[in-house]
Amino acid sequence: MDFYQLAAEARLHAPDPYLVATQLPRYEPVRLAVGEGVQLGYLSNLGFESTRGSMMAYLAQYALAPRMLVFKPAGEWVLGNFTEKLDYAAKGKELGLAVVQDFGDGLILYRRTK
Amino acid sequence: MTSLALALAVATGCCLLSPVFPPGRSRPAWLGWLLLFCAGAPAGIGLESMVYFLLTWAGAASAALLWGASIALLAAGAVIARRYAPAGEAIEVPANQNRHLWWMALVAAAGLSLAAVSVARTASGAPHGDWDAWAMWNLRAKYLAGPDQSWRNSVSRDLQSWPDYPLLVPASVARLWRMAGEISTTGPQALSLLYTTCAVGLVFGLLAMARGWTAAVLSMLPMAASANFWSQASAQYSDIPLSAYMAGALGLALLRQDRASLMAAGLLASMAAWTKNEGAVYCALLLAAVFYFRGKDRARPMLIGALPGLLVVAAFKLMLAPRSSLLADPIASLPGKLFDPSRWMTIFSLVADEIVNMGIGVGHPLLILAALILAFGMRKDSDWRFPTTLLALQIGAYLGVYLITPSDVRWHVGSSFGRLLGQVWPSILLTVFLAMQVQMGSALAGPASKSRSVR
Repeated sequence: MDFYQLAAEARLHAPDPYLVATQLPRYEPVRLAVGEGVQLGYLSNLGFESTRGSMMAYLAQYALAPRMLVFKPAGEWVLGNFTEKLDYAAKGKELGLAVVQDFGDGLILYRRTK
Repeated sequence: MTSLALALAVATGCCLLSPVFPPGRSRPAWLGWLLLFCAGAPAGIGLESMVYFLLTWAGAASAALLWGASIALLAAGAVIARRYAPAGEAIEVPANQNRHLWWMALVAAAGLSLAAVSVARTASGAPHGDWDAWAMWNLRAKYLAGPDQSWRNSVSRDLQSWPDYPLLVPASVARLWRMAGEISTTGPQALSLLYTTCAVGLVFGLLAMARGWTAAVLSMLPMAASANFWSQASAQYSDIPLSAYMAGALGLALLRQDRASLMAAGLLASMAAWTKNEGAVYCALLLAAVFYFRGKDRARPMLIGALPGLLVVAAFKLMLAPRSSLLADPIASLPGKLFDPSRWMTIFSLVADEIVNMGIGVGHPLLILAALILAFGMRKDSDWRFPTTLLALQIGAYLGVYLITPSDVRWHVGSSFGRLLGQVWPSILLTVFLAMQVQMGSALAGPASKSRSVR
């Protein structure tokens, strides 16, 4: 009885604890801009070892499937997924990437220049 | 369209298993229908997932072809149902002799109702399921439902979420999406709730027909109290589907002796192997246990029933799946892990924590189970080595993986053992209540056999 009460209360206070439903629309512009057969690399200010960082990466992967999103800044196309305002162009340049499109809300599409 | 696609798979499975659970010859008839649905639905969904996977691999999984294949499978199932309909005597539930049954039934019904409400609220609050649903199972379903060669992403080495795992659940979800023509949360949610219903219904139905109403009703008390099991009901993971296949295969292998039932047990065991790697271990152990404890005459039809599914699993494992990340560490490191006492202590301590977390307070399912065993006692006329050895070896396999895992053992045990307990929990309840001294006699010896012993 206690468990069911706790479970129900937990869901009332946090119905979607990973914010999946609210996060998916954020990736919609990227989904529309990138072809379904394209493979994307991944670049973020949050490391994969943190729960928030890995959650963001997996959510991006889920939102953009069937496009393949690989969790490293490799390949011709790379998705930037940032939680803070940075100099995105400079961040990409360090890895040989140029900004192709800024979708807003920390989402950047990079293309490898070298 | 999602409902129709799901209904076609369920109906196909029910047709295939109708010679095993003929509802028209069950008394009461509703119990026959319950068993047929709870065993037939997982069988049909599993079969359709294999067809979807093979058509996708062949580059032919168009919506039109999928609808055609589903209708053809249903027609074939109907022919089998008609051709192999058994003509034996009616199957009757042993009469209840416990005068306290009515209030036990009320308590069990209240517990299951609370669990159902909790599951419904959780499902509506998180329509995309829990972490592994969107990070792994439904992610792979999206790849499988994608255009052209994108299905190969579901087995890509670049995936960090166990790309070597078999594809029953992702392929079932992808089939629903492809046939409906849209990606929605309805399909995976429906599958998750359906498998939960089937796992619980199989425990109840098999016990009712084998041991009578008292055993069936009593088994629902620890089932309803299993917080760990119900918390997974709407998670959209593969563990509850696996638990349904495991319980169904074990129940048929334990209780039935006729060829059709043993073939159905093999079919369900092969579906377990197609669901998760743990299911492959279970399938192998079950076949070996039947061979060892029941002899080759029982093992042969089981193997025949399992063969088509195992061929699909073998093709997937040998030709597509990447090497398991469990084997990432060099073999030379294994003795150090296996003979490290602190590693054993860590694992047992974490496992104990997870067992405690199966429930809360005096309503803990293991306390309820212990109280019922003390109150009723266990039967002394049967040999329970078969199911207990099987389940002990399965749990031993889980612990063995923890010993050799290349991942952080604390993370690995903490993030998985609760789910693994959910896999075996219906089978444990089935075994314990079949052995409990609550009702003698069995009505589930199968149309072709009079034997009622459970060894």
